[in-house]
Amino acid sequence: MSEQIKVGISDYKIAQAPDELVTIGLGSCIGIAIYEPKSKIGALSHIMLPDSTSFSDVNNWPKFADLALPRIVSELKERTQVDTFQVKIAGGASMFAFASESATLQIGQRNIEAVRQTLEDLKLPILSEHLGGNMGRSMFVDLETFDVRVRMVNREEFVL
Amino acid sequence: MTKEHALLRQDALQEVVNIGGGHAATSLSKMIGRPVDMDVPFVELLSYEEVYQTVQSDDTIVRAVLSELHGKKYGVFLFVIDPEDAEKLAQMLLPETSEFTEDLTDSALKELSNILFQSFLQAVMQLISKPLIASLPVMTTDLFGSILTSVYMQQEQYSDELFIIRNNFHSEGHKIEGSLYFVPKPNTLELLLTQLGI
Repeated sequence: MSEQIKVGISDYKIAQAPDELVTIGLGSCIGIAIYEPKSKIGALSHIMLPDSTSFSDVNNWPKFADLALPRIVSELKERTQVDTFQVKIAGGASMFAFASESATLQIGQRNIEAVRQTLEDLKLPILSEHLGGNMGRSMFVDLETFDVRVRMVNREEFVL
Repeated sequence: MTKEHALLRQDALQEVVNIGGGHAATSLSKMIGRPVDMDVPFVELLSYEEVYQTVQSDDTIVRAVLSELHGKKYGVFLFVIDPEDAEKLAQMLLPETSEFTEDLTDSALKELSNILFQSFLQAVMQLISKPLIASLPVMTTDLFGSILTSVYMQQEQYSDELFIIRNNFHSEGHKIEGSLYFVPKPNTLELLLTQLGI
């Protein structure tokens, strides 16, 4: 029996097929699915913030893109004994855009840039993505096929 | 800070939210021409998980109207309502002969939220003798989880625990319900308490 494993906000989970990894309600946050096809082991991370450097309390490291991704990738390497992975990402919306707010201030946009940069540093190319816009998203990661379903309210489901 | 002082501050905040929410409820009642009741204001520090378990589940589809305070950017007001309840409210506001298109419902809901925000503010202004203006509202329909996290992030509230400030309004038993949140920028509540002399 496959199980649906829920990833909360500022959290991550690692699991193996036939299980499915799920995260609900990504607004400006980003969901990063990282997958190793042979073992069918994958991770789903739900980051909230781009950068930990201006924070003194970083105990909750899965919250920050710059801390979460390297640690999750090394945990995956240990579990799979492989060091190349497939990556799919979704989120980074600006749910409410006020005219007074410039794009550089928008947290969703900053999250997108930080995730891209961190993945590049880890030499992990992004296979597909569904980012930005003004709508929230939920991600459903099938660890059998690495199909990632992105669900939105009042919109067609999108498969990454 | 002593325990007594912390409690006093909590009581003071609760009272401000009570007064603001009371004003807002009265305005809402006038607008829809029927009684509106308000629960005891909810002023609590909670983790995201606790909010989703006790306040509202993260996977609920809601309509959300947001308005920010002009000038010093003290924070934002957020009105959250079930989409069906939003339609019912719009119908109460508009003449029965109206053709209820989505656009019309949307602008009715925006106007209603705007009046809620302004009347809440008016009450607070009287307490602190300071002018406060809220921007024109913007609106979306999405999951409560997406909205809540995005609004707190936007207000630079990056902590794992959220200070939830909420007035819950209901009418006709609990057939129609809506919640008014205030999400402060860091230091806003400090400023408010200082203004109140606490």
